[in-house]
Amino acid sequence: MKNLSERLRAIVRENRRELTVEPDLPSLGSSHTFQDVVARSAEVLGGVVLGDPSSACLVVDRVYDADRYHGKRRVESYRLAPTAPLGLFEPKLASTPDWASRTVFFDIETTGLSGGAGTVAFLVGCGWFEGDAFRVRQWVMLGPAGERPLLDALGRAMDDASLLVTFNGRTFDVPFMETRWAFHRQSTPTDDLPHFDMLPAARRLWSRREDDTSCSLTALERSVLGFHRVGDVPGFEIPVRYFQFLRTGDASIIDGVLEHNRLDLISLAAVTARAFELASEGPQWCREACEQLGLGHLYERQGDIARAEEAFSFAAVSAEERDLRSRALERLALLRRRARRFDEAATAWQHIVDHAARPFSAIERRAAEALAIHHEHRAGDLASAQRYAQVVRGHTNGRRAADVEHRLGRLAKKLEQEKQEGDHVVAPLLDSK
Amino acid sequence: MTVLPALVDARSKDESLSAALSRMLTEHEQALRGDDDDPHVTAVRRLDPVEARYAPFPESLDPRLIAALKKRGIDQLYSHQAEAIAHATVGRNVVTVTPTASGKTLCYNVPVMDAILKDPSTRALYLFPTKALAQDQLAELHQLAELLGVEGGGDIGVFTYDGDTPQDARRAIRGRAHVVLSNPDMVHSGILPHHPRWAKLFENLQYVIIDELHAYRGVFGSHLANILRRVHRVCRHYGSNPTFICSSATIANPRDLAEKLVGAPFELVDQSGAPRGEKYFIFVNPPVVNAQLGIRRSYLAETRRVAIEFLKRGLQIIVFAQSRLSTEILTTYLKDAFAGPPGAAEVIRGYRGGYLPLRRREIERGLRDGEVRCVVSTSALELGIDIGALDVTVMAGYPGTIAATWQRAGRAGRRSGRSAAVLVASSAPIDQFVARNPDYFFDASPEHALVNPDNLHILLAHVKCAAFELPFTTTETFGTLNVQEMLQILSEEQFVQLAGDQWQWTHESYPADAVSLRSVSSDNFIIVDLTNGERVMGETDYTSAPSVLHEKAIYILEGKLFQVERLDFDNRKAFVRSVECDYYTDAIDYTKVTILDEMSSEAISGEIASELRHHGEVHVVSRVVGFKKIKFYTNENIGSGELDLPEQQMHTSSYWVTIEAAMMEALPYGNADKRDGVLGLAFAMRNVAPLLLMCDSHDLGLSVDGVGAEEAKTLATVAPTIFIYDNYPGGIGFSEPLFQMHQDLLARTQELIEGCPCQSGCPSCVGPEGATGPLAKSVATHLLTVLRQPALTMPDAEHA
Repeated sequence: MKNLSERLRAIVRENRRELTVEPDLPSLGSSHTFQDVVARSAEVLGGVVLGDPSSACLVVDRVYDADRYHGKRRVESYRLAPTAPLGLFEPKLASTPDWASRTVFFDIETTGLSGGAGTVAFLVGCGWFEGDAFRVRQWVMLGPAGERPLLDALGRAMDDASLLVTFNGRTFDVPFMETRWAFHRQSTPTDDLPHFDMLPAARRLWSRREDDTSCSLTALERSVLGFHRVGDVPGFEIPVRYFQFLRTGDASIIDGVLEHNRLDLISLAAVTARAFELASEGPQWCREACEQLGLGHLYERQGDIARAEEAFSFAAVSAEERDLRSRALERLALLRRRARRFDEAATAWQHIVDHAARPFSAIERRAAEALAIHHEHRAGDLASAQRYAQVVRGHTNGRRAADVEHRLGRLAKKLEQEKQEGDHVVAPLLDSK
Repeated sequence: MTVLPALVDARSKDESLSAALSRMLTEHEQALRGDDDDPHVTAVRRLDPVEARYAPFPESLDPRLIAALKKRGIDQLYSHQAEAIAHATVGRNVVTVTPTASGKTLCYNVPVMDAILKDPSTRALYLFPTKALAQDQLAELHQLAELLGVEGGGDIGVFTYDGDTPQDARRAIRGRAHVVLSNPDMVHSGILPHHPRWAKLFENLQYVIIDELHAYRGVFGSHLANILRRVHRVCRHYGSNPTFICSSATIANPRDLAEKLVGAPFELVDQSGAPRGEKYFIFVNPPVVNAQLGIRRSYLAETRRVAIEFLKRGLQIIVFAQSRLSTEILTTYLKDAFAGPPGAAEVIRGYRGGYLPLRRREIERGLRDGEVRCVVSTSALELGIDIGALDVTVMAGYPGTIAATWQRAGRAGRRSGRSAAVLVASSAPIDQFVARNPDYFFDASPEHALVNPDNLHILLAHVKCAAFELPFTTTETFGTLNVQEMLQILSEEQFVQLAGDQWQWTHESYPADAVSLRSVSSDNFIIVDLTNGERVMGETDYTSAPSVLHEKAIYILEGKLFQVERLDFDNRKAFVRSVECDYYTDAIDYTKVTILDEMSSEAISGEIASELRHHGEVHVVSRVVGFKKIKFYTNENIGSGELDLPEQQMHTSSYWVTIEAAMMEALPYGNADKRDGVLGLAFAMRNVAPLLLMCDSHDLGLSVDGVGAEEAKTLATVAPTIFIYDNYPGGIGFSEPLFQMHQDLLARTQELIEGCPCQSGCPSCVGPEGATGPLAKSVATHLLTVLRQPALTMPDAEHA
């Protein structure tokens, strides 16, 4: 008969999931005390113990000098101007006073993605400009006792901040930290802090397809900043590395995680700067049509129709992909129609249809339909209207098909009538019969 | 086929019911006068109407609450309500045991609303065993909260929080709900692991309500006990110490169950002050059609006959069936019996787990507004889902426990006026026992509800969840249990790590996801109908999937037949197609039990010293090996098939009886007959056991060792063993009580077999003669006599 321990072990192992990675790592040996671990970790990670020596939280500071390059440009060039158009990207923040006085970039690394009470943010990083240099300050929990001092220190940093900038922080980082503060029954310092999540803005500017929602920071730093990471720790390894560190006490296992977090912060600052720069400088400064299209949307949302039209026009001209060009042209056409410049709107739709794919995409079908309407109701060119309506019919099925048939039927009737009115000499004779 | 008459109005109901009952009552009187040793109607009990006992509102109640209750027509309380409220408002845990429709909800709604009125930061958590019950209560609480708002009670937020709650509504609910209606599953996987988001709830949690407490027995109850241990830890973390208010149907040990589940002392309120109308309780035993084989008329056909009797007099009835299969068969029978005008709403409906929620809500509504005249249900409608008060309950087969029988009978009956409950016995041994011994049912105490919170599998899963939620300290217990050894092992396997004096969770997983509260495995099988494209039409739990969804199985849904074309075991999907056929299928399974460890045993003291009764840990391997095709109505076996399905294994606990070789040898019968006798005895014991334990029949498994063809051939000494095991990994605590009840189990089994009018064995005692052989009954009787008199020398031995 197995004793209790053996039975427990058997049950635990029955359901055990294999770890994703299990690096073969040296241990500090079993003789080390927690004090040793703290001291060694501070040395390895290049930080200092937060507060008294018994604290289990490290602070690691790094300064990126103003003239150092990150990607193709120098760090100083990523500094945000107080005049940067924050409200364009986040209308709710448009009237935030003095937001640029201490803009804090914020990113956390956690022990899991589930976000339940048992996952913690063992590494919290904040970055801000000091003069033209960029400072990254990271707090690392060396054990569970480190969380309280970490949260306290982070709370103070948040109190000093005028604006928080994150990448996907609205869904992940900020609610995650709120949970940790709530766990320790503390008030939440992020509650009244203005928060700008860069991810939706990045999607606007740099997604190539309409349905593209994958817009990772590492992809952006390559395409937008020209920065390529070497030897980066992949995200899925991060929790396991931290658990390994907890078991072995060897901080070199998580050194790479700290570097990963620092790069995320400086890239976030740089990508944000680039986005704001594009927005203030306008579409002619953009390198890519998707940026121009995105700007057009932002201007339009803000109500700046003239700049929106300019941005869509640029995008329509510079776009290489058909889909992108069609999207720009469609926006352009809609703006012009709203301004009752019907002929110009028709020109934009005409462009879409002229370069359409076979079969039509949804935009292209809508363009042909808009042209049919335009020619029937505005231009009074029934023959053209009929031609476009027939094109639409060729690319329509399902519920909309009935609408198209209805339009075609009406056009046929109108054409017949027109023909009869043209033959006005004959018509009265026929009628009198 | 007849046309169903219109529903009679309330005033004429008593008359219609009397008319429908009159024949059964007459038959019973004749049986009493005559000398029929196998009467058709075996019992008629008339339960007198009961007058209400009232009590005033406790003085401490907020006047706004009293005003709101008066607006709802509640001017005073029933005595049991006042008693329960008095306990709860001063912070004593209380469990109320009262019959169906006795106003149990006020017992908890009053203290909760009172506390919220007095301090709007107060929070309460309601737990219901199913989502449907929570939805049901929501409407009632909304109404009360609204009335309180009118009385100046402010905005009282009442919300359900379960798997169906939209993601975007969850945040608002966490902030605004004074009362959260949920279920154990959601608390387990959605609330406790995210307790920081629920800080407001846990900081101010004054009441936890557990409705339908009796539903939490066995596995489900053992899980709940552990979830509540976790709730206590989280409440401690946030500085609250809630009072528990529970309500239960009648069981033998409500206080004990509440205390085991909650881990704290309870007050018991079990004297109902609610009025009750007159009720008839009638037992019907289908007549024997073949005395030699002990075959009775099919109880489903008998149920059909009884149900039609009430339906054609314009009464609204509920028919309870024992299984999903019999639910479907009865629905078919009753639909066949009444022709509706074409296109009219369906008035006869089936109802069971596995129907999609929308269909269920529609049927419940139909019952309340009278559109549905008859519902055929599994135990799914036994719990307190609001379907209004029906006129008659017909039970096709004994529900398995006294408690469940009363609960089902309570589905019919209003506060005034007459109602009836009819129990139609099947040929199952337990049914025959109850039908022939009505006093057992009417006079005995109901069963005990058992839980085993310390089942290692269940406990370990919840310790992991608890460690995820809050680190354990090195001196902390879980409930009163020392779990340090368990944490040590979890640390070896890297789930936790000791840091200072705390076990820190150090794993990426979300442990609550790995635990399903309702069955062995969390993955249900989805049933896909291929008749018109692909359409998901239902689901089945993992354990029963092999026996109901094997290839070529006939799957029945509301009387429609489907055949399983393919079972994709790995992906948990069964593909079915609508068919027309005149048979259904019944799976055949094979089970083998190996003893791992014996906890205790008792030997016979006497000449033949041997170990007789035991209990301990066993390993069970079972597999569905084939199926039979059975014709509707006649129940003829019209074919069979073999199946190759994966085996299911488990480590569980078992009670067993070993019949010593010497004892076997001494039996004055041939080897094959001895074997038949042992199998017959096992069959009967296994059927009596659920009667003594409060458990569903399928909570227990049976296996007999040492009676295979191999053993029967050799003349060497054989000591057969009868295993009755807990049908759940780790065991759920039935084995030890069975071990203790050993003598009672044998005595009841003997009563069953000897009291059976058949000549040489039938499905109601030792099993059908065709399956067990002609002498099974006499050998089993002989064996029982031997087993029950351990101290004596074996009787009859000298006559052998």
